[in-house]
Amino acid sequence: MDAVQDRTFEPKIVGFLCNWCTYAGADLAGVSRLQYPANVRVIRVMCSAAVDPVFVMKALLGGADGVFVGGCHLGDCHYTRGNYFTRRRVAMVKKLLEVIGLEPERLELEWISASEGARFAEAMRDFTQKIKALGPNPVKERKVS
Amino acid sequence: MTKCNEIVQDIVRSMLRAKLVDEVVAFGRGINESDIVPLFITDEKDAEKIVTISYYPCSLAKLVALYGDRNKKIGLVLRPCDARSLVELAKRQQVNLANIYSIGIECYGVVRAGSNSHQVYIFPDTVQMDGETKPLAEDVLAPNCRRCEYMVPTMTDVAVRLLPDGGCLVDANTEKGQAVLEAASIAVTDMPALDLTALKERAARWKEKDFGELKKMAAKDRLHYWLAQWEKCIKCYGCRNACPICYCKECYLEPEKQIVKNEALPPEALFHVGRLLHVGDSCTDCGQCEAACPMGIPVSKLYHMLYEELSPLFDYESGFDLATLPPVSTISDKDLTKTGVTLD
Amino acid sequence: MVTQAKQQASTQPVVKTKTGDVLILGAGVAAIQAALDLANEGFKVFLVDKAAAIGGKMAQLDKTFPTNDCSMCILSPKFVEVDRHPNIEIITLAEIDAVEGEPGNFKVMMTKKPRYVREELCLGCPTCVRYCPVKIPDKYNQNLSTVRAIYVPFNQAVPNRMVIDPVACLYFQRKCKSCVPVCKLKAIDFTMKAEKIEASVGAIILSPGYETFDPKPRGDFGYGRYKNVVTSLDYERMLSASGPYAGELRRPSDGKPPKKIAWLQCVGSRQVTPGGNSYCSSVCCMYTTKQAILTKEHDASVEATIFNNDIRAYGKDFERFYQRAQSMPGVRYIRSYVTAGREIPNTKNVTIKYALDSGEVKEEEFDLVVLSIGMAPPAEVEKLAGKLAIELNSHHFCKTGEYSPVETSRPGIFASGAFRGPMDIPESVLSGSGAAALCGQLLADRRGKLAREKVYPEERDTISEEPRIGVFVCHCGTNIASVVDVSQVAKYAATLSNVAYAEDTLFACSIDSNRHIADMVKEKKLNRVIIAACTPRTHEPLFQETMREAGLNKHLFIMANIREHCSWVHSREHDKATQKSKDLIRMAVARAMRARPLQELETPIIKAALVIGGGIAGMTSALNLANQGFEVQLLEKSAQLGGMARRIHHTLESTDVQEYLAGLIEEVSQHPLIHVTTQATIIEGSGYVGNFVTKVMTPEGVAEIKHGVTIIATGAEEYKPAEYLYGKDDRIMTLLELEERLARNDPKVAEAKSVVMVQCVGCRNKDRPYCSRVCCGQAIKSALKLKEANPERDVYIIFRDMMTYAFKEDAYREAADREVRFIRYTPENPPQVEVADGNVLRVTALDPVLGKQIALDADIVALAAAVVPSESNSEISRLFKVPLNQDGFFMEAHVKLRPVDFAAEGIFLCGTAHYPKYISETIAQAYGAANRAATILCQDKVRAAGIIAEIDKDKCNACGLCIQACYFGAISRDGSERGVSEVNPILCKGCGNCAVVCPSKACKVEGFSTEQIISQIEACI
Repeated sequence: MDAVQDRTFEPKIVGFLCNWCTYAGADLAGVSRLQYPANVRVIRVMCSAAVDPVFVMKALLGGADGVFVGGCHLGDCHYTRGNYFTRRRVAMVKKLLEVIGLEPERLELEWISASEGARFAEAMRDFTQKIKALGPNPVKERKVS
Repeated sequence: MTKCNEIVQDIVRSMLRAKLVDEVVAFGRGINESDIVPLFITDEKDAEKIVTISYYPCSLAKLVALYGDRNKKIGLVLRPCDARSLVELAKRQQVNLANIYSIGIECYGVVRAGSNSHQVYIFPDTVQMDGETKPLAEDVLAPNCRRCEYMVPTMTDVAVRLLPDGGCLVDANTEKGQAVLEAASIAVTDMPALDLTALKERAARWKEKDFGELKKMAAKDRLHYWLAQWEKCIKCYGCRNACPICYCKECYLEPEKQIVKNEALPPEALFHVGRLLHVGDSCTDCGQCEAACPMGIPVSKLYHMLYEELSPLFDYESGFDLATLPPVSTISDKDLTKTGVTLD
Repeated sequence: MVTQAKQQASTQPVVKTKTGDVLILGAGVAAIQAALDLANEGFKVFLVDKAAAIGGKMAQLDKTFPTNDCSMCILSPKFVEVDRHPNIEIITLAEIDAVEGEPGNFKVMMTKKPRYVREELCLGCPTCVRYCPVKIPDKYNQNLSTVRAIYVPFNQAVPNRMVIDPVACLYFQRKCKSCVPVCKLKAIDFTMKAEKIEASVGAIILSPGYETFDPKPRGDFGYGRYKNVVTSLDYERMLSASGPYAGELRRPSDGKPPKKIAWLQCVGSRQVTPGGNSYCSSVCCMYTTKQAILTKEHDASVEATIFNNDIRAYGKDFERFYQRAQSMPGVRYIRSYVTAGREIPNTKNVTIKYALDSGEVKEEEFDLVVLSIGMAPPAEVEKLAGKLAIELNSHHFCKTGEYSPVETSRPGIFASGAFRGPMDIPESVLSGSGAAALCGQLLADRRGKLAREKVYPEERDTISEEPRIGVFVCHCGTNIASVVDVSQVAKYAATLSNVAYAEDTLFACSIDSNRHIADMVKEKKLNRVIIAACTPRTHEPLFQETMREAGLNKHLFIMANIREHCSWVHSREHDKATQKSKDLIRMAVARAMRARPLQELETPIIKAALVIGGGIAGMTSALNLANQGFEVQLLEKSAQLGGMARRIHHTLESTDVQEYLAGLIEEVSQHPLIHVTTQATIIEGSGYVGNFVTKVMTPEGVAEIKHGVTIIATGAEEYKPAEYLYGKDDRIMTLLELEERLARNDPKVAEAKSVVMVQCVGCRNKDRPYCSRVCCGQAIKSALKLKEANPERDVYIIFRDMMTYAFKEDAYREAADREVRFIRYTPENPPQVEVADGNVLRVTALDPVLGKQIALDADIVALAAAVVPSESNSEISRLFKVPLNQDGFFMEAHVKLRPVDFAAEGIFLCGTAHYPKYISETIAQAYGAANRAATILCQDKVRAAGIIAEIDKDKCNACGLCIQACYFGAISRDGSERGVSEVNPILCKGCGNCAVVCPSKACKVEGFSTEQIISQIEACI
């Protein structure tokens, strides 16, 4: 069956959110009752710079359909420069994905502050939609064998 | 005995004699003509064992990092890719570059170790392979060498350049290099202008060939290509052990780290990608990993492909500037001026 | 319920008495800073506010200039800290009735209005809100949206409790009780009455803040009548993601995005007309600039026009910020007085009339007009002053002294924040610390006596135990349970391996439930606890307390957020939300499996301070710390104390600086706890908070000083102009030189008939794109002195923008009244100074009013030379590993909320080393720095956070990549031959960047370790 047309496909998304900004933004989305698809499973980290590329690859090679990384806006990092490191690492992993044949779009980085609940909800809606359009992670096709 | 071999032996002898170094690490004859091993030479008499050949069995830079004494002055005879690995190791404080005198030999590329029954003494233009003498043509070179455009040793203290007529020229790139040449009483001659056009053309052509066919594939096919390659893996760790810039005392891919599960073979794909994450940004494309793989996984192709993507992204050329740290372990001032979630 | 209510109604009103050390009136950012400082020093603090939640005005701001940090993001962590602090008691809805007594022994009488919600029962869950039928304007959102009559003031409110608006609530009209039965906690209580509270304290800090100027009574620019005329605070909320339009740029009349917006500066400020305030409100130029930039970020196509008188970008990094806005396409700064236009009936657009350079009046139409309203004293300030028996100044702000900027007229009562006059957040914050410094000085001997520290049972050793996990799934009333099938989730949790116990509970955070969880830990021998409820950002500390009370290490607790991240955001997808809750719990279990007990490391503190710099800043800090009882080493590089102040003779307010300085030097020199070393040069610095070692070279040799904290007060220098023939003619001098010559009655100056001053010499230019802040005041001060001595004398000030912010505007007006001539110039057309024929000193400038060049023959030309950073800054910066900003001044940890702290703990900053400033500002900042230092010196030990990096030295490759990746200087090589990395646990903040950089994972942050997160991922996919 063509994945893109499979309306029953519910992507599994792992979200790494920094404690100070995006996690708080996700909290605010909740407090504001902003609805978004129930596909993301959040793992809280202290700083987006604590998101080891190996975490992202563990998730994607393990069959997660998408990985979302959220950090503070540049300049707002609670630890001064962490998000600049994050940006480099995400850029690297995206290239890696491309090289090995996974869609780089399966990994998304966003800067979302503690006051941007609406933006978080929107990011979740958009990313879930994007992953639905991409279809299931092709890694899973091989896993069955 | 080629001219190149002679000169290198000469330099090594002079360095030891002048006590510029306590020890020289170079490849040389082992128990017989076809046994090429790394030598740790302290006596100038042993310099005659040194050979410069179309074969490079392992990274000498890594050997020095693992077994070298940081406080000893060491002379190191190596190829440009290994010299770049040496710089990468130095950035990671695994070698004490201040105590190393590097003698770089211009490279025409090497034949893949592991090709059976070859005599590899004749340098630079022929190779004994499978019982016959073959010209050192592109197609017998290791794949990574065909993609290489760094064959001139500009990053070593001393550079031994090869001339088309079989002759040699010696140059010093650094003050340490000058001291070596002085000790060897070698006058620095005018170097012919570097013309890398042909080399770059060859590299581009092979990159296009090696990477192009993968890039042309649909993403999913490429993924399955790599997954299929990785499924051949017997998790011998050969690639890691051979890699000159894998320097960890304890590797994070070892089972007790619980990042990669220690279950059945083949290991999960993360085993390969995990290493790629660590050295992909700094790979010198020396080809040791691919040569070491008993299952014929085109490891260095993967690493080089990623490196080629990352190098322009981070404006990073591995193996040259000691002050530029591996790009995913640091950030630059330039980063601070860029807004947004990408580095564009 | 009925009986209970009756019982309470029949109780006689009693006065509740409380005993503490310091009472702080107001709970804005200055008060919060003071409260935290004092509480951390071991004082018991009452934080009293008339509002239902703490936070003050800053809580309403969207972003803060000049960094555009999110205001609430940086403020709300402080709320949580205040809320949890055992030494702070928050008293909301309370007002002071009277204050009796004297310093050290005050009695404060207060009245606390009823909340109609029991604070001890309510948990802030919003169930009741859904049942309230009454909508009221949301004050937090400037009445641009609505809330119910039972509400929490704003999302991050502390205390996080409901409050009922008694005016709107229908109970008081027709006994509506819709909310009462739905509250499962029975927290709503309409029988509550006003309470009388009497607090005994030793000192009082007044921090009631300010009101914004209200343009409604005068109807300025149609405010109140035209829907699309809003105040800057309204607009602040409109911009905010948590505001009435959820962060979308819209205008009130029709909800359409405005494309053309005008800001009108000085609304209610710099006005001597009735209803206005004569002073400058200090902050509006910059917040407008911020709003313009933020607006452009929302929608780049917006045209932003700022009508202004001067742009007062006088603070640190303000000029750059202003230039950034100026250079944005579509941003116009127009210097012109404006008059109200009219509202266009069909579009509801508003017109503004303003004068062009040609003198012609133009009328322009805007989609939205923002009034940059100023600051006014708090409401009913005279009444407040009467109750407190303190004096107000002529502008009805708190009266403070020039050399006692945080003291009121009544001893023992101190002032902080904008109650002292219009000011920006950092000045408020540092004055909060500053006021605390004087409390600390007054009450030094009672420190620690009333403070309490909680005693916990001994921690159970669980290291050798197999994980036994308890899972508690919270209903949160109906907040979770109405969406998620919590009992099914709890049953599922019980099936997971190593889960020894699982149950669902109505309110996990209620006191009963906490007790129950602690009981279950004992009964089921649990050694890990997971609570699936709300967000760990607010509730983790509470449950960690529960863990400690149950004898478990608090790091063996994990939260799964199934409310904010699940039931509230998937409220129509019950099955999916239930499934997600199970997944989140499974992931939490995976993480709990690898959780380890963590100990918080402690190291002793050397109870002595090092103060670098013997100017007013350094001496003030040193004296305060010594008066608080701490040993101080005061270093001065020159031969005598006094610094730049030695060259200043009087202030704008006409007080004698030299007299004050002499007194200060005397006091410092005589103090038994202060050790002054002059001619001192620091040659080596090492150590960290609590344990610094500094080597100092003096004429007597090298000395080694051990100290727990460091204050950098190295001052600044005067720029030596290269412009305007300075140094080539004796009649040309700097403003400071003019002041010195005035003071010693130099006849050349005394007899001068014509004095011309040129402002902005050597700054606000390409080389130094900052304003030196003090020169305009300095010029006016000398101009007034010159006029006072000889009113006939001509005095000219050639300026760009007069930076006479706050009450300095009075002096500016006075100077103009005394016929000091002000001539404005632009950087494109600077004035020229020449020595013309016959040795005539001539200044020519383009007079914008006359529109032509004018030539002034001067006897004296005085140049407002820039304040430049001290030359020694780069060396001090290197030795103490503290950063400098682009201009060479020291860079504080956070421009708004940590104005005197460095990011490196234990090092503080004050005076002109931070940025140019006036003497009274320097003193306030010096007190601030002293008190921040005192918060450390009051402790016996510095404690590292539990979640920090650790490095396994055996596995470390000594590659050093982690060292450069740590922005806190917490990692260094150990002394061993291999030089492997080690973490200084005191400095580590636990961000985890090092652990990612470390290839062999020798470095890890326990609690967020690689293994833990990997297993969480495995459990997820």
